[in-house]
Amino acid sequence: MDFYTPNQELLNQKKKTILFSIIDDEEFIRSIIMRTIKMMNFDDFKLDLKEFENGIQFFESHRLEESGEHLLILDGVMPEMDGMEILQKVKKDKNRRGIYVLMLTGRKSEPDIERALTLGADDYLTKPFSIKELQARIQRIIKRIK
Amino acid sequence: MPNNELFILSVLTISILCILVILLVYLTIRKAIDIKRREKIEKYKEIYNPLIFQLLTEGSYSRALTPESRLQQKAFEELLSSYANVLEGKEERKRLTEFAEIHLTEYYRKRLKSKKWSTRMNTLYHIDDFNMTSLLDDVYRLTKKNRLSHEELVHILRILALFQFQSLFQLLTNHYQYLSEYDYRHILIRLEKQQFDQFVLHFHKAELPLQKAVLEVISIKRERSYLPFIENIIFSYTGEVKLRSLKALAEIGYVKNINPYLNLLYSTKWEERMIAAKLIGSLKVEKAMPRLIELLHDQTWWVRYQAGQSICQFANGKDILRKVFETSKDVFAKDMAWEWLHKGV
Repeated sequence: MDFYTPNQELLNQKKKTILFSIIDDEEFIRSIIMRTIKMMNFDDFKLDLKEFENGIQFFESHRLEESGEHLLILDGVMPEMDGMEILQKVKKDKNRRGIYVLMLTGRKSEPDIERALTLGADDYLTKPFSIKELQARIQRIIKRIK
Repeated sequence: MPNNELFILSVLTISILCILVILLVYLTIRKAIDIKRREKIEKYKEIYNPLIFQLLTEGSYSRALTPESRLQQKAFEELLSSYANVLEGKEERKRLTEFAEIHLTEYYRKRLKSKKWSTRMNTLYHIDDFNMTSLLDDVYRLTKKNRLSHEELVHILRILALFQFQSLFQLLTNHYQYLSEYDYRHILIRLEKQQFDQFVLHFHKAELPLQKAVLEVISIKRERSYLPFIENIIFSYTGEVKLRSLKALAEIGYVKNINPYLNLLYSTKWEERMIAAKLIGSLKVEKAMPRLIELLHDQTWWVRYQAGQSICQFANGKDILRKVFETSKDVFAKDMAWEWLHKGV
């Protein structure tokens, strides 16, 4: 049994917050990603997890204004504002730091991957994907945040 | 008399109205049942989804994952199908197959015997998605059915290929020699090397569609071990087969000796000039560059296009294209050079 002590509370307060935003128009995929992240161990961080159906909903939520390190998991193809547009908008502000983007998309062509990485995506994973690989790539980005 | 006619007309109208009302009631009830059924399936899916996710990712099996009704089976099927479309990890796929084989084998065995074509086809798709080798014999047995649609047959053969069915070679070469290249290709692409080798050995005796499919599969898989075979085909065949083998060679992107192929850049057939240009591009043969520049001025669009693409593949390709664009007097060559300079390749 874990005992919650005031010291632990203090430690938790000191922990950095990672704000995960999953933006994908398919509910099923969002649920898989959410579950995958919940399975992972983030001892050094406080976790804040939210999902969005599309880019418009994401920007309207003012999610990026919340303080902490942001990790966006973006779908490439969405009917309203696709992943590339969101990526472009998010990375536009060169002075803005602490926003990491992992593209998780069905777009497999070389130009798409090249474009996403040029626009500033931190990693690129294509669908269908392996849960272990997704976790490994998230962990890699988290290491950079540390 | 008019009264009588009016009476008959009234009876007829009332009858039609009654039939329509009955039909409406029937459809409404059916729709209501369907909605209820769907709601139940969605509810089951909500309950089972976390458990199936846990099973696929961690291998932890919950006792609650035992379907007791058709609707529960349907919920399982829909969830597994969604996971099969999204996940590709080896472990996850293996667990998905194991789970499907435990809970859906009997259900699918029955459905494969259904008289409804759509039921059988849907079942075949699921067997394929879930890689259920436990149903291999049942799928094979379907080939012996008298009334089998072409789509069904091709799908069955594709599944047999996925399962690396031992007698597939005999089936394709003795019983199903009338399939199209497209069909053969979609079947052969799923074979592992050992099985596929049988078709390579059989190549000279095979019909043209099967020959083309074999070459196409080698081209897609870029399997270097077939290089001697491909080179042999190039110099012993003509026409379509020769072109396809040249294309395969270009895809593989390697030859021991390029010299025999350089002559093809001067072939009288535009198709051969085009494929030879493709080959030179993928092999980046410097000494063939002057000829590639000449081909950029070829009378056939396809050859000019391929020459442009091949030049682009060289490290100094863009400079060469720029020079052609600036100095050439041939409008078509200039156009093609401009096109490849602005393609963003």
